Amino acid sequence: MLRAVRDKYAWAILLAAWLMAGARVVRRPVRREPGAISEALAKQVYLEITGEEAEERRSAALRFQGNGWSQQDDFHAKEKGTVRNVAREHHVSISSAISALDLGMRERWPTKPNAVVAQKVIPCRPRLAY
Amino acid sequence: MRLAWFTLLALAATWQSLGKAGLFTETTDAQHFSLYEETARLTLTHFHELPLWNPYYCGGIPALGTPSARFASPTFLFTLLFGTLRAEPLILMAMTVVGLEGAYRYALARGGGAAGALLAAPIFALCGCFARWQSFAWTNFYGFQLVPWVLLGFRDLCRGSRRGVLVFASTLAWMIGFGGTYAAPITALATVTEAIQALLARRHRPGNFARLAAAVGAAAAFALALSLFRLWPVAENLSASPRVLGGTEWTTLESLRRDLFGDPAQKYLHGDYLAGLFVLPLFLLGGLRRRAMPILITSLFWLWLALGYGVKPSLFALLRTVPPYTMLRAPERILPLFVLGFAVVTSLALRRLEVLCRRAPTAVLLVLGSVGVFGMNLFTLVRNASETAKARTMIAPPAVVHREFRQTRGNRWLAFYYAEASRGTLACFDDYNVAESPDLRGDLPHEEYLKDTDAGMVTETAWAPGRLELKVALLRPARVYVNQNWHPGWRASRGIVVADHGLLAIDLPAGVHDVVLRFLPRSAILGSLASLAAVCVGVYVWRQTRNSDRFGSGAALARQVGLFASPLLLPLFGLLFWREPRRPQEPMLTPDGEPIVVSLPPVDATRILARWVSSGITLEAVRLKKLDTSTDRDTRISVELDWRFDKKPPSGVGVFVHIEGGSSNLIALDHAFLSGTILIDDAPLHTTLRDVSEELLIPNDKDPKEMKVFVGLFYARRDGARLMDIQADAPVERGRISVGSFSIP
Repeated sequence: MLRAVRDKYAWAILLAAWLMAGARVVRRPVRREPGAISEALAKQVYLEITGEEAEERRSAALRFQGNGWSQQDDFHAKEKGTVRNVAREHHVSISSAISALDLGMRERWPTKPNAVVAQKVIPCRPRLAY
Repeated sequence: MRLAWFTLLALAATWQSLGKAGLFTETTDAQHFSLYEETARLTLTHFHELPLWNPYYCGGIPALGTPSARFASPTFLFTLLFGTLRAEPLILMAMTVVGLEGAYRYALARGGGAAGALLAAPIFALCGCFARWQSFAWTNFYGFQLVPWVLLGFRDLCRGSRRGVLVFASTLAWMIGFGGTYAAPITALATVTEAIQALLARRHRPGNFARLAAAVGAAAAFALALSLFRLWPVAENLSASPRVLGGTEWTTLESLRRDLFGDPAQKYLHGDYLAGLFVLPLFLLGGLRRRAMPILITSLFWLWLALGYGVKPSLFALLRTVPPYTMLRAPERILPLFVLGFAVVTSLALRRLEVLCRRAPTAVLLVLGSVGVFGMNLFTLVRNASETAKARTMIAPPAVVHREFRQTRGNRWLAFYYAEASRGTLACFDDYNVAESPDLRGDLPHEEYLKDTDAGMVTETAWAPGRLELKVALLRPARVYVNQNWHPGWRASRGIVVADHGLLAIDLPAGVHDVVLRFLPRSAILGSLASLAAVCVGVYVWRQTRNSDRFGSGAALARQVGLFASPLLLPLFGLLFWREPRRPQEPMLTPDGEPIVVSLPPVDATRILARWVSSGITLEAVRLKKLDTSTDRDTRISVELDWRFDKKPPSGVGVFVHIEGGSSNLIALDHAFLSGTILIDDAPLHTTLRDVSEELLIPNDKDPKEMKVFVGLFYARRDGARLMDIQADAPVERGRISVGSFSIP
């Protein structure tokens, strides 16, 4: 009898704990980043991000000599920083900046002189040691 | 009541994380881990198909074959109900409850007593590692919470319990399905120590060995069948694109001490693998018990392994010679096994004091004191979890854009953003060499195309991750290209599926065709059927065990073993009838596109003839070449080494090249693949092998400089030691040969 009552309370506590967890998870409204920006602004964002590519790739090549994938990966790490900085400067979201980069490459938007925008990638080959 | 208490504890430990649900963790690994889960969710809920193929990463990878994807687990239900990001803390909470209950049961089985086990369980399940892994969004590492369950099942099956087999196999399969890239192989080690303990316990009853072997064999076969839905695709994927790992990671005892017991000088007790400082006296007391002896011995092994290459002899180095542990890194990740043993020993201490109370009632004060110590320890663990979660940098999740799928060049450091925008990121990373075509493009107007554009046209009529429908009109036979990776699991309703430089393609005759391309890999289908059959066997056995849980002996034992192994017949039969094309071998070409295997070194190479005598390896010649792509700012060079292997090289050997001189730092080219293609272990014998580096970039200084080049061999995938027995005319120092120099303007 006592055990049955105790079990009932235990189940109630367990259920209440999960309800609290569920409520805490769904209660908080999460606003996703806004996506759309004007074409003119997107073109400017594209111009600025791709303008850094040649120098970022050179710097990555100096850091990871003779390892093409690591150079590419290091460039992409730098590109992430550039995307974030350019997005911040233009008060747009990272999602918008990425969207501009994608569209710009696809539609061959104008870039700065001497800009290099690679369209192919080197297959993933992690380094021997990290 | 116990489960309610554990749920409350898990709620307290994950409270901060629950409050951040829906936000995105700002770490690199979160990008691809979240991508794997989110694309699996999308595939199921948006495209209404099983997540077998993931086109959103690396140009397409087998979803079940991706070792660290976590969706093939019961916790995926949370993802389906709440979405990928919101579900994450709920998954952590659920896994914490599982870990608490498992640790409790395991400690109890080890003789810890109900009270001791109850109080000691949080030492394992709230260990600092789980808080730390959460910060990196390594949700799949929560598979470690299943370790005590696997061991508990194994202990039970060793005692002849069939339910033990079910618990062992189902939790191991869960761990593997949950992406337990570390948890599963490390748990396998712990299982070996349990097996040794079971053998030792039966050393005076050798007649029981056969029964034990039968039970363990049945469990192994059943666990294999139950996890085959995941193990087979992963094994297939890794065999096509192996992880070749070097490095000699190590740590010190002092560092391990800080990890396990925290630094009291800090604001709160924090450790990467925090077990807690307060219970240390209880551990010492529990360690005096005879029962604790096997745990203490195995714990020493775990510490020895965790030190990595930082101790000689290195047990970790030895382990790294055994497949699949050749792919294991981060030796400190073995520490959860130590923490589990630590928790069990503290429970033994409380049990000891409880027993003492019967003889000396005043000992109840010691029991109460111990309970207080456990309480303080629990507080520090919950606080550590809370504070670590609070410190996580979380950001607004990316915008979701539902539109036609396209591959982009992408960026693995932002991979999740691309997936949410219906884009695949070709630039990617995972812990293995992904089988990825170099011909994938990120700027195509259409994802399916003809290179021979005059031959006709291709139109995509329907798209889902694992199913493409195309309308193809051809004036003459032609090859249709799909901007995704080829895999033997792709099938077409018309034409022949081929791999073109790793790219998915279909050869079609002239005419108008409605082509359906489906991804149905043999490994996933047959593996899943075997796992389903194993589930059916499991349910049947569970119902049988209501009457008797024992294996029995003689014919009954043989029947049980056969029953547990029977699901494996399904894939075995399947293999007889279901053929898949072999993956084409990567062409053996240098980065310039020239053959690697030649009869002699190039004529303009400098002869060196240096021999590593005992290994039968010869460096025949070297060519240092300035490339035409050099500019006023930089000089570009390539280094070619021409090798000859007269016998199978020592396992795990790699090449190092050092370039020194001028104001540049040392340039080190360590590699295990010749020309990035042939693994030295697999190198063809008695011929010249050209090992050409990719382009090196050396900035031009104001003054000209001389760069010297040194070459040597080392145990790249072992302890890093150099091979020293060199015979050469060229100068040799510290296991490296001076092979030449070049000048930079």
